[in-house]
Amino acid sequence: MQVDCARSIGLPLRCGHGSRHRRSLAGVVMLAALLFLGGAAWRPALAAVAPIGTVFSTVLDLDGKQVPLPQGAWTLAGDGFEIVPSVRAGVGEAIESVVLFKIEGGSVAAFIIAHRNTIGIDKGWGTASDCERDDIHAAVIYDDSGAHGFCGFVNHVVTAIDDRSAASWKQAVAYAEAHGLALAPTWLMAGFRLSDAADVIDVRYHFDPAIAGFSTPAAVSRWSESKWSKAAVTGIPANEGWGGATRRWAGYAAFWRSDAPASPSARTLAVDQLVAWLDTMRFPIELGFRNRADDVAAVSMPWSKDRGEPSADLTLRLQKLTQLRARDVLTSEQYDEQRAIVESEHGGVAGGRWTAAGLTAAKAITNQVTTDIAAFAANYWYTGNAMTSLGLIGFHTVVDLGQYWSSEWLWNAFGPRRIEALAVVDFTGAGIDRPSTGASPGLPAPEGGGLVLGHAPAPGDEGGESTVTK
Amino acid sequence: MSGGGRRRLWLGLAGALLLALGGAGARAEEQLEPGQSFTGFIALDGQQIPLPEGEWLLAGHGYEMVPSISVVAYGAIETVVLFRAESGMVTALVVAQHNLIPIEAGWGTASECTRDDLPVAVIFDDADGHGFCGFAAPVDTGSANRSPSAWKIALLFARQRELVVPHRWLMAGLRLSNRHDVVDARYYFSAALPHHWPQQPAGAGPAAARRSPAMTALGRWLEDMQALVGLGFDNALAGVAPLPMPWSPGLGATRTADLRLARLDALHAAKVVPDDFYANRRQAILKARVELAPERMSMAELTAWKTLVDQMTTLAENFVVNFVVLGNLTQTFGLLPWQMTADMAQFSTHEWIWNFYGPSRVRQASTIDFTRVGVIRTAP
Repeated sequence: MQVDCARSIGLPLRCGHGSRHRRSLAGVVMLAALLFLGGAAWRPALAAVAPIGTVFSTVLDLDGKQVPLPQGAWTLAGDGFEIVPSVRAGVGEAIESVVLFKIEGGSVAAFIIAHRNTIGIDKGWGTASDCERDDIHAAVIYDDSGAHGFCGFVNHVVTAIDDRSAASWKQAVAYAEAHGLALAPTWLMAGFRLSDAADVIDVRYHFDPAIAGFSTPAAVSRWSESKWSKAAVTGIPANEGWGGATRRWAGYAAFWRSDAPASPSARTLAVDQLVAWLDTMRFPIELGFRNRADDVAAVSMPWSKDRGEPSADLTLRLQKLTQLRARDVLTSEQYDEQRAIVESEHGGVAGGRWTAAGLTAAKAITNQVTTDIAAFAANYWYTGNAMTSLGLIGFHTVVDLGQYWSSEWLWNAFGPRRIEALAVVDFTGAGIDRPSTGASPGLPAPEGGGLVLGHAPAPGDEGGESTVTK
Repeated sequence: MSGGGRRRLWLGLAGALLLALGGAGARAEEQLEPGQSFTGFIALDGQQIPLPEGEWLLAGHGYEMVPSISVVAYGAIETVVLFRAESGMVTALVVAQHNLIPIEAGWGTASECTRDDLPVAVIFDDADGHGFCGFAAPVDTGSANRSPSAWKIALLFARQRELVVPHRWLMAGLRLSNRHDVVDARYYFSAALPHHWPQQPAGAGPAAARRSPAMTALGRWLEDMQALVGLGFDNALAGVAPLPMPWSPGLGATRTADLRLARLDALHAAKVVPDDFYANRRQAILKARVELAPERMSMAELTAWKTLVDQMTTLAENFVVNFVVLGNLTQTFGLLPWQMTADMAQFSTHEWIWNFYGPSRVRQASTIDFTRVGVIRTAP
């Protein structure tokens, strides 16, 4: 919903962070502009969504799909197009992205980056690499059947501009500088990727940890160095090997020998609350994909005092049920019965997608165990000699493993119910959201290779200054 | 009683019945009233139903429950009936049904989608929790028994408006669902439009009648209409031109291609995409055809085929291993039947369990039928 089409002129240029920061941001913006000009051969010649500076609330219409906005006013700060590698071979796909700022007191308290395909296709959009990561706070797959994909994830993102940055993000950074808006060095992000055979939408909500009551973190140059990384929040090293993991799980099992569990840290609780918020936002995202986001009220911001409200799906279902009862479409018995079901229902989560090799290996193990039993019985029945039967089993096991594995793999890879590998398609982004080894196909390595920026800390912050690293 | 008196009595009775039947419907959705006209699409609660070209009159509106899904909180199934009238006759009608409250476990499929005795039955999507299929067949609406209340209201509406409603139709239907919602839209075209239908060649047998030229053309129209039903499911029909009626000369490139080309042209004109991208995508869009879901093997079929293949490879393997260990051809052959019997039992059981309970199990969509308007007549 568009609230105000006036450009956001008159925002405070900057409140009390000194000229040094302004200089560094100016440098950043100039470099961003150079990157933007040099890196993108084809730049947007139109602002398709609305003029930059337009303020939206509740819903943003993006190329025929709605992006639900959390409560408050959201200012359009960037709008751009990219051609990204395609799921299929070919020239790629044209993707539009927008960035919206939630501005509070001269700072960007939160921002959203949303991507949407501009032209429909026929064979699906694969998945985002974030849907299957285990080095981030959460990755949940809601649906992965056929060409349909829906997942959510929670991660931390370091503010930066690099070759992976979306044109809309570069515009947004320039907008922040032009209006004297401070950007946090690190954000907590809850995102979604939802697609069907034709269309895709990728929406990522970024929040300054300050709105969860934390001091502004120091700027870091590497994603994994952040105090908001999974390793830092959970205390489990990112590079924990099998040995470490085994010892840790053994420690959990031998609970009587362990110390009393420490109460979760404030950061752990904040991340948990963001994961819960992700679950709350899931249904509005699905509604938005079908242009029905207006059916529900805007979801409150994470960590806000209003977070106790019932979920959007429950509210919508109960509201419609009550309307049907009020109009005598449902009898009171039908109403009571359906209400009980509605109150007990919640969105399901899909199991992980198996690969052809993984499924083949699992089936080969169970097959071998059962085959050996059956074969021993048959051999002993015929030969009457246990040693001969065992000898046959030994040979059979070796040969059978090879035969079964090959046959099963061929069925899983090429058969009528073959397991299709899901293509990973990552769009350009806003900031650094992965270690350098996690680069996506077709996109350059992100960590440490870009331009990191952040605002100077307020008194009492964890320290750190605006930094620019290349 | 004179003819005029009888007519007034009929109209009076029809009016009373219309009020009685339509009471719940009118209260349930005050914005939808019989007699309202629509072009392009009709917006229901949560989704849009595309209408072919022309003006359509809302004739009936009502709600039903589906007994077969009593343990699901879907609210009710809303049904609307729209007429396209020409010269006092209903020449086409649309019956659209959808749920009012989103559910979690999906809506299965319509029985028409899996019938093999219909002239047209195609599946566009059968992914787990999702379904999109189309079908076309001759339908007889002579009896209103077991029809949705909206249809009964529509018949009374026709009587009030002095519209003739034929009994014989060619119907093209689409069922689209995801995990939450479902829409079932059926388009009926009157058999009393000989100038609209391509005619069956004289002397054609039953096999030809099953897939007459009219039905073949309707099948093509259905494939085009599926794109609009998909857009309507996503509430994205605003600004989309309606599809011409089947068999009309206006049918050409598919609506999907039209929409994609228009978007591509706009991006190119705005210099958002380069020339080579534009040319490549334009070619791809023009070449694209409606994709059908691949035919799926049932769990039993898949298990049987895999067991057969396994038996053949296992036979060769067993023969070699037996001969290497036993060194005796007679014993080797004697042992084979025992081994093969044990292996067949083990393999088929193991495979069936994996297919039934495993992570990539062969799921069969349940069949959920709503109350229908008319009876499908597969015989010519």
